[in-house]
Amino acid sequence: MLRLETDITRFLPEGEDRDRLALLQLVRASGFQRGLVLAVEVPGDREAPDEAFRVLVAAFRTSLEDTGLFRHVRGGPPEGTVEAFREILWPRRFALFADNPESDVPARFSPEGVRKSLEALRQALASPSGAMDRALAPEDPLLLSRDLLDRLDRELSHLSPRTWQGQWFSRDLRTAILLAETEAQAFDTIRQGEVLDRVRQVFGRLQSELCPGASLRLTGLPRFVVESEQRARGDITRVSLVASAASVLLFLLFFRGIRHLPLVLLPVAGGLALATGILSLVHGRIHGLTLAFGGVLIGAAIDYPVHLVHHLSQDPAFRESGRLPGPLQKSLWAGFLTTLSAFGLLAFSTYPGLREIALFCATALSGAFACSLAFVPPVVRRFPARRLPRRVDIRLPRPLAIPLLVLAALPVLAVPALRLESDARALDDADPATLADDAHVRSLLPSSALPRQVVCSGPDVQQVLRCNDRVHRHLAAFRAGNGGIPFASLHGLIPSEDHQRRTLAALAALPGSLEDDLRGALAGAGFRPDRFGPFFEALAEARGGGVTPLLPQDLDGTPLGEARDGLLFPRPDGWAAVTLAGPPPEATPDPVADLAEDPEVVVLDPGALVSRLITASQAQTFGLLWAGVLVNGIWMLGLRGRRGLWMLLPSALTLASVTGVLVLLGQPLNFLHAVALLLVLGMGVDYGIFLLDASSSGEVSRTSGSVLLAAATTLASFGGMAFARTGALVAVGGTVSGGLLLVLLLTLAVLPLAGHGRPP
Amino acid sequence: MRSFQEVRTLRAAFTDRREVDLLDEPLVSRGRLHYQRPDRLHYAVESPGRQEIVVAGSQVRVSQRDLGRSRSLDLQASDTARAVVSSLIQVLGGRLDRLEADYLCRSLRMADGWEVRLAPRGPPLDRAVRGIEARIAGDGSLREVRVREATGDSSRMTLEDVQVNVPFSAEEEKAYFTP
Repeated sequence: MLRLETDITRFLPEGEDRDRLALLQLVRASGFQRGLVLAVEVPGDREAPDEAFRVLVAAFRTSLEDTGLFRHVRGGPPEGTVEAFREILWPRRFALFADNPESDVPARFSPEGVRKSLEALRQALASPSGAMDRALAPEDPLLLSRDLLDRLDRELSHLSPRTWQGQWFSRDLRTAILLAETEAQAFDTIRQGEVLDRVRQVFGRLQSELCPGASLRLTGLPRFVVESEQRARGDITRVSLVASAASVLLFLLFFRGIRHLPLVLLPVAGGLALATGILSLVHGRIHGLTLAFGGVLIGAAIDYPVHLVHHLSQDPAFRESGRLPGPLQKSLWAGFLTTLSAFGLLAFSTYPGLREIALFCATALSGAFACSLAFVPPVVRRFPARRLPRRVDIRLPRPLAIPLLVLAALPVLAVPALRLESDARALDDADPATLADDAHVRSLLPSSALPRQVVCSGPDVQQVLRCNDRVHRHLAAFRAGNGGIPFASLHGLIPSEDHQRRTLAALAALPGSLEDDLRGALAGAGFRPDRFGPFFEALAEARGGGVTPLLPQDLDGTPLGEARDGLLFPRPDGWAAVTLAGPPPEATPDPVADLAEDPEVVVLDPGALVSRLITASQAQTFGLLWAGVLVNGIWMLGLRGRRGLWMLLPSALTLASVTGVLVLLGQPLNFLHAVALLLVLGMGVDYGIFLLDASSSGEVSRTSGSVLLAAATTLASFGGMAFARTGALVAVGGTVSGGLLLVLLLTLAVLPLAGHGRPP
Repeated sequence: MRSFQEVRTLRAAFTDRREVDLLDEPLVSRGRLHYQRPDRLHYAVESPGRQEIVVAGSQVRVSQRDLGRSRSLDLQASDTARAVVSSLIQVLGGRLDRLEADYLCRSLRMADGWEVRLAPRGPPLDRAVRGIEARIAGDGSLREVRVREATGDSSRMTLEDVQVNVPFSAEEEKAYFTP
């Protein structure tokens, strides 16, 4: 079963950066891979969320959970966090409280450190807000609980939106936020489509019943995937219909009958079926963009049967002997091989998506070519056309040739100012409304302030946590001084086992008089030492080796486990821990930059990474284009001598001219332009071959009709891409149509210069 | 008592004396408080040390200026904390109607005014508070709030310079009640 794929990352080049993108997707897997972020906005006429709004949000969450389509729908911090803190973290407080064990532990238990802690405790006890400190004080006179809570708050608060009355909200309290994880995989477009429909349906009903005027905006990978697939399916249908209809109409116009129409369509259908079958065997899936290209190929693949039908119908010698005329055979083979070479060059692309298109198109064209040679001649001979095809002489008079070539050459002057696209957003063809929703909803999440990800990877979870400790220590050192950046680190929740053991060791290494010193300090600060028995028992246990370090699995099934899962996750070859970091500071060195030197650390900046991925291999794709010109030049020179260069000239000049026009239009060039121009080269050089070959055998007037028909069907097909909603297809279609039209005109202009013009 | 139950705003200086079992001596703190019906409180300790507590609905901000610490909390996260803070605010506002939902309330006529005694009806309040007593002057203004905590600790907050129902300006509202 062939699966339609819409993952645009297939059109990203391979290499180290692509591996990083895969890692980035894994990071997202922990939170957003299947996730939808639902933002419910307070009605515009209300200043703040009221009771009706709160009821709506609660009912919305419950109703979504009841659909069974979601693993969970979160609207606020998980319940039981305080209990988890008490049961899991608190017994290990002596192992967890220090960021830098060797310095923090002696400092905290020094006379000055203890004095400060006891002073802070007195202040806390004097405050009506000190209920928790009071409750823990017999176990915690030094307020280590504060260190733990402060660190959790400092390191992990960036991960959760603002909480108000138990519900997550935006900072301005205008928008309630729900995070939903679907049961279906993000790329399961059928089920994700159902999910999106259901979400909107449920909200629409509840909103009108409970809080009219409230609105919903949502984002998440599933929305992009579903809309992308819908767009791809629509494009495939539209482009294929336009290409088919245009080809049939043009055929009828030229051949003045439908007798040979099935014969022309058979090789095209055969070629497409063969390509689909091969791709199915090789990949088991096909990308939407590849299928859309397939639709366009109808216009290119139809050229071979059209030429054959057009020529053979008018050739009495063929009807007599049944043998294909030698010059026609040579022209067809040369045309086929030049087109094939263009797609063959695409096979060297570092973009897997382009390689897939190359395989599909090369296979489809080969199939169409083979079918044409196998079926068209015998059928045309046995069932000759009732009416001869239209004869069209499209040769240009010699005086027009030079001005046309000069005019085409003028834009080439602008080529030195060529700029390559460096912003991937220019290639983003998502619905503007979807992009606007995505930008708005993401801006409501505090994690949007931490766009960079510092990832520690390794085969062993403790090795990864040790690396994560190093990252934390480095960033915290900057935070302590000037030039720090905001960041969220797992270190606040789970330092490595090694870090915890060092903390316990530093505690055990404190003088044996520690307990007595602490009792003295308590008494000196006005406390009753005998009320702190639980503290001294726990301290003795920790110093005596009775505390076991916290391990990641200790948080399984607890609310703290959810925080862990956002930043620590398994990979196929081990584990990865993520630190989310803010953007680089403007005036000071970027602390994250130093981390890239650590062999276990990878720094990911999603926006920059995707831009770099999309644009990095553009130069390589343009290199393929010029390699195509060179290969075709050598090929033509070898096959046809000097005439071969005349054959190539229109295509080569067109590439430079179209490039110049794009530069003059102020458009930076991207890899899609390179692909389009490569197609222009592959298909356009055929016009030169057919016309110049025909002219040398005095058959230009016969051939120009079939070339015109072939060009018209190809132009109609690529022109049909203008009806696509995928920006990439529109760009390719426009460039190829314009390019092929110019190639045709220039080929006609070259004819008289090569000595085969229209007689005056 | 009627004027006590119709407090819309309240400003006062306070002295809070806390008996804490962990300490030899009581802790005494002084400062000012501001209350605005229905659920806003600004509690500023001026000595010893400076601390500010702002409550607006379920949002609480605690700032310890001397330590450079500031924390925001949502009372929804803890039933006990919400109930305790809510009780104090209802007492300041004289909202006996609201308090009766969580406490057994008794109002006693005293020589110089009234005393309202509150005993928690059950969880979660009884895990934190054993009882609250509020003393009200003859003119209906709140003078003292005593809290006996479940730990055995207790506190006595005495109010002076009490101003009732003097509206807050927009600037004051922003300064006092922004959590």
